[in-house]
Amino acid sequence: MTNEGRSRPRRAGWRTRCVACCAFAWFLCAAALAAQGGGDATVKVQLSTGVARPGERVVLSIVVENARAVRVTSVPTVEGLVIDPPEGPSTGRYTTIVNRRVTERIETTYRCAIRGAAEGQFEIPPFELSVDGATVRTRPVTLKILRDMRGENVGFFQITPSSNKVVEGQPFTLELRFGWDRSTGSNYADLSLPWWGTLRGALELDMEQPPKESGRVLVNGEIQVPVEQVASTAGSDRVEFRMLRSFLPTRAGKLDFPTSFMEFGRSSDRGFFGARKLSNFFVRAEPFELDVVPLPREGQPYDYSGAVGSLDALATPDTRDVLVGDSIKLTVDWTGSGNLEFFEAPDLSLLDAFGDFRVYGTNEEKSFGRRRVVYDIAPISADVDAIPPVPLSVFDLESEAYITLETDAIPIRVRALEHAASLEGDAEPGESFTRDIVDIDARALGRVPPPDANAGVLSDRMLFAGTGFVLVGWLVVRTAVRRRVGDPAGPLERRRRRARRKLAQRLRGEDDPKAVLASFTSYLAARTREADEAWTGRDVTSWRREHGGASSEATGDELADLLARLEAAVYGGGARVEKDEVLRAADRLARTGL
Amino acid sequence: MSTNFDTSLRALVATLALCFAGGGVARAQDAAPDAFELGVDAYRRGQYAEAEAHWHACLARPLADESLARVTYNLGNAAWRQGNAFEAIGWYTATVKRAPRNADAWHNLELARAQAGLEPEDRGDLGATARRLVELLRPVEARRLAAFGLGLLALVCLVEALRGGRFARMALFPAALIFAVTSIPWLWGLARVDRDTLLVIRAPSVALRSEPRLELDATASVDAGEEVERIDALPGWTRVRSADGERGWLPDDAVFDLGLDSARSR
Repeated sequence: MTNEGRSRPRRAGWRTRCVACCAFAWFLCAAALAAQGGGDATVKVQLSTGVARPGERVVLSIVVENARAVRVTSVPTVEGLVIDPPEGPSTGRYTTIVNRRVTERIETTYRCAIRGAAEGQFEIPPFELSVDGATVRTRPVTLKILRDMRGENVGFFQITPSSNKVVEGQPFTLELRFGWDRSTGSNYADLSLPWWGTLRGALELDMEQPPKESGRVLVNGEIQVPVEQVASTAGSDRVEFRMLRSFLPTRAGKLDFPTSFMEFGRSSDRGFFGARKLSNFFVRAEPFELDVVPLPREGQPYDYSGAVGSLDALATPDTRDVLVGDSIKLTVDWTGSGNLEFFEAPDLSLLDAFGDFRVYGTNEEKSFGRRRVVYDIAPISADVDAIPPVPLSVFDLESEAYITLETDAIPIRVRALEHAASLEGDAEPGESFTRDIVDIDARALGRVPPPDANAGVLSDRMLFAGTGFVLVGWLVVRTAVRRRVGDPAGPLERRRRRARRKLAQRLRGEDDPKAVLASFTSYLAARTREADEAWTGRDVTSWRREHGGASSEATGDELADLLARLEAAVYGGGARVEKDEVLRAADRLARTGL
Repeated sequence: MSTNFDTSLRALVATLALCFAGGGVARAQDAAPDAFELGVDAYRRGQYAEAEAHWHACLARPLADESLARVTYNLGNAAWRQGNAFEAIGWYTATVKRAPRNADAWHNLELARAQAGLEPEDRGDLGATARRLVELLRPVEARRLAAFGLGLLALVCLVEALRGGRFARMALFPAALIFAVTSIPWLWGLARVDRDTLLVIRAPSVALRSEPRLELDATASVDAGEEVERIDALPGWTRVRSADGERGWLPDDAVFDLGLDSARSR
């Protein structure tokens, strides 16, 4: 009765929980089905503005709803517009419940920045997307680019190359000048330079910082670049800035610099949400091309270093008065306009002119507008009177021909070392040496040893056997010792080994018979691995009977006799026992195995 | 009584016979320096071929390692003077294998290899230096060194077995290490004792063939100056295994027998 009464409520509760779980599962399934059947994917496209100025950033958003896998497969190109690759996607999920009907919506958004490079009305063709495996196209949209008349009136932006035609390997510089009227109150400038970091066939060279940095501009919305403010003439109402970039063309062809833009204007101070643009203008710089022509093969010297440009060379020694073999640090500086970082500095050890010098090494320094190589050289003859010119084969841009640029010869004084040979040895001038074999060994042959004389003394087999013997012997001896006496490094064993030495030490300073007796019993206790008191008053005869193997009968008698005499000397007024006799008895006992 | 007498007589006769035989051997051995000196005389007169013949005669007699190395060294010089650079390289290589610390032989070997356009025998890198260190000792010296290490190990083992203790146990490891290190030259030599090593002396390389027939195509090649191992021989042909493991036949005149196996036995 009691059990049934208890089981009913439990069963009722279990049913309630089952019903609740089923209802929740049904709700989840219904929600999932509702979300699944939310509808087909839709694609929307829209521009942030339909009218823009050249260089102004317009954002084109592509929004795809109710699709799980979205990918932009094709971006159209429009002449006069610069369309960046799409950024994203960003995905949003929205769930709505209306009248118990659950609807879920998924939005996938791609954003694409577009800049106008020319005026006019442009139709942006459809973007191609892959939506859940199907190919979908957006609708075309129209963007109108109107000239920013005011921006071009109040601002300017020019890009000027140092030369419109350069030779492969010849560095060139772009000067970017931009500015605006003071009346605009502009306090920021953003440059949009589509060629920045994407020039194919040219390396950007490191530039020196501007001598007086006046501010920084944002380039391509990515990096802040320092610029130099150009001193304005008196009464001028213009603010002008300048920036230089240098490049080294690495292959022949054309370098394209498409239209660049500058946005400038006034912005509020940077607050919590960043700066806000109060007014902005746009101005563009015209596109241009630069021809890179190859280096002429005709007339190219065999030792051409790869240097291109208009260079100067200067050599400076650290000393001009040396002894033969002394080191001279010869610093050669190449300066001017050219690919200073990229040519191969001459190797003096390969030059015939430096035949009277030994070249120990070089140390190079590369910096903007200067290439410095420090040669460590040493004259090997006192006949040297000058450091020869250091030649460098250069393609000269002015004459458009290969020339050899040489430093000036530097007169030096080389003094001979007294009582010393020159680095070339004692050779007479003009005399040369060759390496030859060492002479034969003409010593008479010794007597022949008996066959296998050496091997017989110590053969390989003996060594192998010896190795085995040592290892096996070690294990056997080790096991035997430990079986017999336990750990040989234990305190009892160490006390036993030291007993004889300790007995001698104790007897050395003692004359008292009592002390002699105590020392001897202590010795006996140590040898038998017992406590010191064990031998006080011990009956030697019965002990010997119990430990028969420990000592011979005669030795046992001698021990008993000695102990009796020692005790008599202490307690019975007997004659004193000599210490030497005690020590001799101890030795004999030890020898018999005590 | 008579039996004992007979036995003693036979023993006496045998001993005398052995003494005579030994004397004969000794006299034959004493002749070796004569041939050697004849070779030296011929060499000094510039008769290199004659010197070579005399020294070759010395090689036919039993000689100690040191003496043998001196003969092979002189043979190298004779070959060099006759313009046979590769043969000289072979003789010098054989010399440094027998007398690894012979500085003159090393000098001549490196000079000959350089003149023949081969890489130096001692390239100076880590592997070559380690190998030269290991091969610095002659077999007898290597055995003595190993025996020294073993003696030290035995001593430490004895102390540890009899006295025990932490110090003795700790001393076991360095002693074992010393034994291992001192055994390296011995074991290295032991591992190479059975190798019948030849030196390729035909420049720039010689073709290996699968069978001892010239009309067959080459299956591989070995460069001049490379050491190979002889695994078989037929008249005029030798089957070798190269350092890369390639096996094949090559003509006898393309290789030089370094004779290391015979040197080792001494």
